[in-house]
Amino acid sequence: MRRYLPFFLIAAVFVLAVGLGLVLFHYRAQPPPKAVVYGRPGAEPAHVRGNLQAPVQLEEFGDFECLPCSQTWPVLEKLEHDYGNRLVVLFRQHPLKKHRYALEAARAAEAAGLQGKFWEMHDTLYRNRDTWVSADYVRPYLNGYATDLGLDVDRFKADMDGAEVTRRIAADQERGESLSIDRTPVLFINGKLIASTARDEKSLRAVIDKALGSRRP
Amino acid sequence: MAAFVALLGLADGIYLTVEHLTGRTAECIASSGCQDVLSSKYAAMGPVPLAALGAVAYFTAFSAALLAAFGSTKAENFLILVVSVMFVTTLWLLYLQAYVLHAFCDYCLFSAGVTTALAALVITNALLRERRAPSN
Repeated sequence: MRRYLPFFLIAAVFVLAVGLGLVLFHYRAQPPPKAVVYGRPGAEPAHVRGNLQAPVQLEEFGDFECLPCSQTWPVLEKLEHDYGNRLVVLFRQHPLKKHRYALEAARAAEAAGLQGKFWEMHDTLYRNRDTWVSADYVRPYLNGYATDLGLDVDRFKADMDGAEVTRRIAADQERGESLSIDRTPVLFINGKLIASTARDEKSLRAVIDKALGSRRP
Repeated sequence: MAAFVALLGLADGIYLTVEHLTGRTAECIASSGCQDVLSSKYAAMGPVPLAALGAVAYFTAFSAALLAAFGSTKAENFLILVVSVMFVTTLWLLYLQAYVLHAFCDYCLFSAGVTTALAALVITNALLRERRAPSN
């Protein structure tokens, strides 16, 4: 009997492990997303890249300091390029409190937006994320990016602490909260939540193609 | 003892696998990098979460440690092999967290601690076995 005891214990642990996994999965599984989300409106006008009349709308809630956001950025850029005027991308600010410079970066992007260069600052922030995230003081970096983008830096500095920037970020965050967003990045395609496991290029293409009625780009 | 330690790693692996498969990101308790690490491209190999491979490795280590405790020399040698691979993988994952992602996650560090403890136990057992073995 003792000879078979370890095999019995191994089998018991296997069954317990699988059972524990299934029970956990049952309790942690998220409810299916609503068919289409609405929520609060967010900042108006929204930051939009692409054709507003496009049949597919991708809305991103992002945080410039978040690493997965910066990894998703080149994927979205490629999709924007490949799908052309059939895809429009909206960006919503959702700086997380746990990120030291996320709010500062969001302010910088919005301040640049007030001079018509939101997306240029958006791209610059993601491209240089590793640099400014590890800085002791982030403002000199943000001011430097504003200079590189040809912005009026004095106005940029004033706008960064201005009421309009604060209002826009708060409006986007209110929209995020109304959609129960507690992380970043969160993507919606035509109002449908994209699972965090489906943010790779192939999965996003599949969703966009489906929304386009299976037409290839 | 090694079998018990492996069970801790197995529980950690199961939890992280479920979080990955349900599209959630485990919240850190002590650090702040769980989302960065667990949502990174290194968190999965294709469709398979790395945590699931970890859970399989811990279960394998548990089985081998149990069989070794019941006197199987083959299982003991197999355990050394498995734990060695796990330990090297752990060093690689620690490197990724420290130098590539610049973020740490509690659950990954816990797993690293478990694997290190397993490695220490297995090495100690192997040394004791050498010492006990009759010299020719």
